[in-house]
Amino acid sequence: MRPETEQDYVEFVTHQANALCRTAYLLCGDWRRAEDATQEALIRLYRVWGRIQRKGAVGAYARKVVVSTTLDALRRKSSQEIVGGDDYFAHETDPADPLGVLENRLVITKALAELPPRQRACVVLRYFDELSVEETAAALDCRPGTVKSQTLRALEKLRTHPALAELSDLAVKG
Amino acid sequence: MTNELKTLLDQAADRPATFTPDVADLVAAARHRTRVRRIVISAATAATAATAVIAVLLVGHLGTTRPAPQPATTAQPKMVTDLCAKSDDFFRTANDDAWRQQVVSSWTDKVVEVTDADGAMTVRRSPDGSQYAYCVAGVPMLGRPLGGFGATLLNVGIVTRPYQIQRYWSMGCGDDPVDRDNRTMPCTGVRYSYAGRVPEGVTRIAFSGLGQHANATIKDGYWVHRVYTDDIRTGNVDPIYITMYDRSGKQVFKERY
Repeated sequence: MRPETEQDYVEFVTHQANALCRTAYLLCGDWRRAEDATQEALIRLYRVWGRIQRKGAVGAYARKVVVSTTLDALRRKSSQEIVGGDDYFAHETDPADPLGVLENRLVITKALAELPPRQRACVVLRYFDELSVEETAAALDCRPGTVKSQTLRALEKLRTHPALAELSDLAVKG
Repeated sequence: MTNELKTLLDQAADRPATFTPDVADLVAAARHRTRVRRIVISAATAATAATAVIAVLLVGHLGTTRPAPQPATTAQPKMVTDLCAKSDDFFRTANDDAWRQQVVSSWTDKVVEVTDADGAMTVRRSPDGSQYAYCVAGVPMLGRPLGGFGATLLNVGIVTRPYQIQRYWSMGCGDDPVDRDNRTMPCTGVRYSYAGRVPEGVTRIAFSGLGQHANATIKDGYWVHRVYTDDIRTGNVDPIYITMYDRSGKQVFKERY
């Protein structure tokens, strides 16, 4: 890779790694896994960086790789690999957190954990990363119609979750 | 957009620390992987071409000469009982018998080793000094060598995290004297073997759990330790914790493994 192209990659990593990691965290519920998935995605991105940069779709591609890497890691959980001590969506209490924020955090991470991975990905990409249906479909490598139906099902489940039932706009929008 | 959901998701993904991977390490890892990929593709292409050439030559040869019948011989690969793997290439090396055989036979430089009645955990250095392998070996019982029968890379996939740890488990009889040649019942104990690179600034690595408290053996930047349990089921009662301390005695890492 040419130095100036590599410098672009370095700048992208510097500025976007944390955002990608947050998305990965919402998909897997474990910060360490999220960091690993993000790093793995960034390494994969390096190989195709020049080509993707010419296409002008670096952000979308990076998000797509992060999502697939994170979901792949979830599928591999049944192998002999063990991550010590932490289960997915194990919640660590943060003494610095205000109680209300902590409670909300627990509620949403628990609710997300109960969704199938693809539905969870739809919710995270649509409502956390604020992607359109088409962008979400591109990130998940599926049709827009699939995103719509998966999102609808996910929101229906979240709506019936006792702790989330009181969210007014969740109850009326799909 | 569902505003409340967005707010909840934002809160859930908030944490005080920002994730900033070491870009130099990432680039180095990416370059290495790109090189390996190119080599693999080149090797595969060369192998395909060579196979095609050999096939053509063989067809020509078979057309002109009739081979004499040969006695049936089957090469028996030597059983690899030592379980070795590299932390930075865990899944390929742990599943590659030929690689493990080569490590056991030719990587004779032992960086650090801990031994007990059931076997040993060793960090081995490659002959050219550039690579390191973590190996577990078992003492034979009834003439059969007991190698490791399970391995895992804790915190798998980490590129830059310094606390990457490799764990093996293998059959064991414990420290009490046992006549391993005449034992009628197999041992039911388990030895957990741990190894890793000593993170920067760490001077002591303590193990606690299964009723045991001890420090890992550290040498030349690597550490190893073994923990024994008579019954694997007791592992949940007193879980194993690894705690790392720096020179001032401050705890810098603690995790349940």
